[in-house]
Amino acid sequence: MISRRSVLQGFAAGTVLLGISACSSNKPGTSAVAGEATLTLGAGVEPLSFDPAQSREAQFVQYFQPVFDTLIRRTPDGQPSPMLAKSWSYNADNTELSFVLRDDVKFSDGEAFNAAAAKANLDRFKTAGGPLQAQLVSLESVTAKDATTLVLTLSTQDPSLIVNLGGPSGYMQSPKQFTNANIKTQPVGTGPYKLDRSKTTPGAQYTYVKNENYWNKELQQFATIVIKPMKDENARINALRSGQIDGMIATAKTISEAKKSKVNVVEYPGDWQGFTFFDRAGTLAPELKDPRVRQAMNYAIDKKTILDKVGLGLGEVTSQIFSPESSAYIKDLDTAYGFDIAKAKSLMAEAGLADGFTLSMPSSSSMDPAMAPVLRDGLAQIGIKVDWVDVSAAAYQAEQQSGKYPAVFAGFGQPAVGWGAVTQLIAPNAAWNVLKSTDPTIEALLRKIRLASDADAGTAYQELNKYLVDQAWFAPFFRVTQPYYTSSKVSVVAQTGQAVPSIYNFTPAK
Amino acid sequence: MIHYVARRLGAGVLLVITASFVVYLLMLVNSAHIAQTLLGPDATPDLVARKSVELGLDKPGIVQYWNWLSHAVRGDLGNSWNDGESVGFLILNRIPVTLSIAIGTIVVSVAVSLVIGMAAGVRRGVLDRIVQVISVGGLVFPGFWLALVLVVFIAINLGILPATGYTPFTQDPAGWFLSLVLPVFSLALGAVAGLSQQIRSATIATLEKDYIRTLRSRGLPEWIVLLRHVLRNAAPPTLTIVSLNFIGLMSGAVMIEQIFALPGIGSLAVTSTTSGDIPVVMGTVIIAVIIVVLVNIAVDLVNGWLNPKVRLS
Repeated sequence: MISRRSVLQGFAAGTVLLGISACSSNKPGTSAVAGEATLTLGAGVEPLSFDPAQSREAQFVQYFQPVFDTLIRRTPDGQPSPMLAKSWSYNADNTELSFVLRDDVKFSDGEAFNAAAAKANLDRFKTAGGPLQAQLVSLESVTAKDATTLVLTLSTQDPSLIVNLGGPSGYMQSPKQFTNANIKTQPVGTGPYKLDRSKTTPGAQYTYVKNENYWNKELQQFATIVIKPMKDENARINALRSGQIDGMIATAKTISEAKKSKVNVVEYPGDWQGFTFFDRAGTLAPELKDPRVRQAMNYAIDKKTILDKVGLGLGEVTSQIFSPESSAYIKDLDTAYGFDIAKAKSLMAEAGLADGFTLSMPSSSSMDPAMAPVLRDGLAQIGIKVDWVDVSAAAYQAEQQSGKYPAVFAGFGQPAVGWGAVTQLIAPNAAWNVLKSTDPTIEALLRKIRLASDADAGTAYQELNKYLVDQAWFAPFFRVTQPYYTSSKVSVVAQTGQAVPSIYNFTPAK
Repeated sequence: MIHYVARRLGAGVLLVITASFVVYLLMLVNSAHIAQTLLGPDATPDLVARKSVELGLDKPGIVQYWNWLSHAVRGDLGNSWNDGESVGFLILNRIPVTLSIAIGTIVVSVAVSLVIGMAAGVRRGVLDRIVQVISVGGLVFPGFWLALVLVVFIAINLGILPATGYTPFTQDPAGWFLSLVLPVFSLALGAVAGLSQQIRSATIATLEKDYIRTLRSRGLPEWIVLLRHVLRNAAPPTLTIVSLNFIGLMSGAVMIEQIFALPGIGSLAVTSTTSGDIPVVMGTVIIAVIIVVLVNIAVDLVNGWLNPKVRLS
């Protein structure tokens, strides 16, 4: 029997707990007034280094954008707009890019931002050995003509340069910080916020406070931004539902649960997933040299069923690698390779491979567990025996790019500008053109795109897209839906071609 | 005694060196991929090659290990290959989280197990059966499942405790306490299940000894018999289980750290291992091994203090 005393003791203990809880509550987004609230985000990654030259795209941008302004800013639809550069223009043959810079901007250490500082940053990014150094591979030299005029001379035309300068290669750090030992942990930029080291615990919480001298108050929608790395998606959802964070990146698998629990869901196109054929020359797997075999593999996969059963129907079936936002996109190509086993078998027979062959590809625990058996069964129908080589999750990405495999199953982002996909997957020196495939038609089309004006490039991009699909350089299955969740205290707009919304896209809810 | 402690410490140093050597070699199995993993998927092969040379990964494994060891013995654990932070700083930031969870779990589980284990052993009957049921329940429901249930009901539905995160004690003692309640409770239930059964069995066995009957016949108060004699004799095997639990918690906390997004040493080890950040992996391994060695020595010393039969000359 429970005594009255026990009940009272229990009540007292509960009251104390509630009291402590109330005293120490520090809820994010506590005020909806622009410029006064705190924005707290749950991130799936930790910032690896605050050195802009070592920075990356994807989820990492949210750690950098509060402190580093970029030369141009990417609007939510992925288009370039002024930021530290007020305007820009190309010369006639697109090999010289001139910027007019703002003259009213200072770094948070008090140093002035000018063309010399911008030149120092670009020169450093190009040579510092960072993961995205290749973004400036076409940059031959940088000239600071005067305090506000910056001229970039290119070795060859680079259609994605402008958009890239709205990301890591365009982050501007105070040149005085270049030689400081703490460059990896203490960012010094011109951005709307400053990293507060006293309220920052590496790996646990990164706190940014308002830069009082910032030149554009409109980009300071919050007094403080806090980013908490939370690798586990369920932990992020629990933190969001309990009011500890205001926004988080998620996966499509949790959308239905999120919608039931009253969080705001923003959906936008995420990665395309499918086979990437590296060995189009047939060095490792001679069978893959024949486009008919690659086409057969496109026909053999029941994309719709896999999307419905494995991806819970959240996405769109496709056969092309380009984003619907890019000028390369052709809607009809989404259905270029429907599920057609008879056609696939006939192509295999035409290629003299009616009995099939063995194809080795890496797999890991980081893949959806259903994916490997589904793909193995799909290709088995046309006689292709998939030999999945299991590798550790830690080594998976490196193993995929090791050059040991003729093809891989992988997912890739879809940049708003088609050239992003070219430099990532198609160009002979692209990081994901692992075995350096090339083709005279593709080379000619890439040359045509580089030389074309923005307005004229669309036709060449579409020609390239058609050719890639026709030659089955890839076997894309679908574009998955990328969700981002927020609490009712903030509003957010998705960012085209980026894994997470930019910091500038968040505002306190009205 | 000093000789014994010195000998154990010497063995501990050997263990640390052996463990560090084995872990370093294991990390080097994937060394061909480390630079690529650190630089990310868009890095070109020449950048990857440059990074490998910069990190010294082109040197023979034994040379790399010696370079690391020669700095480590001077207290320099190096800097993270990821973010450049000093490994010592990273560990000092993370270890209070894991130790708070582990020590909190041990304190709660020992306190609860002592009360219910001894009560069950002394009273027997219905109380004993209830404790048995609780123990079975504790063993059946895994800690991570309990953690998920607690987060939903206590943190999200009732909103009285934080669902995730850790508040440093120095920043907000009350917040620190609250941030530990759910993780500690999730881990403690399983620990209580085993520990209370051990204490119950030891209590029953000790109560049946002749000397207990003699003590009682001398008119000693029951609480003195229980606390001074029964508990003392039941303590050594219990302590061994407690030390094993503590060591298990150092690694078992990884799952709980993930569920509650706690920035502990476990999550640091996982992150650094997957990214190939050898200096941080080595730092976490060294700290974990040192803690295990120290806990074992402490348990031996306490055991000797409690039970003269196991004291060493």
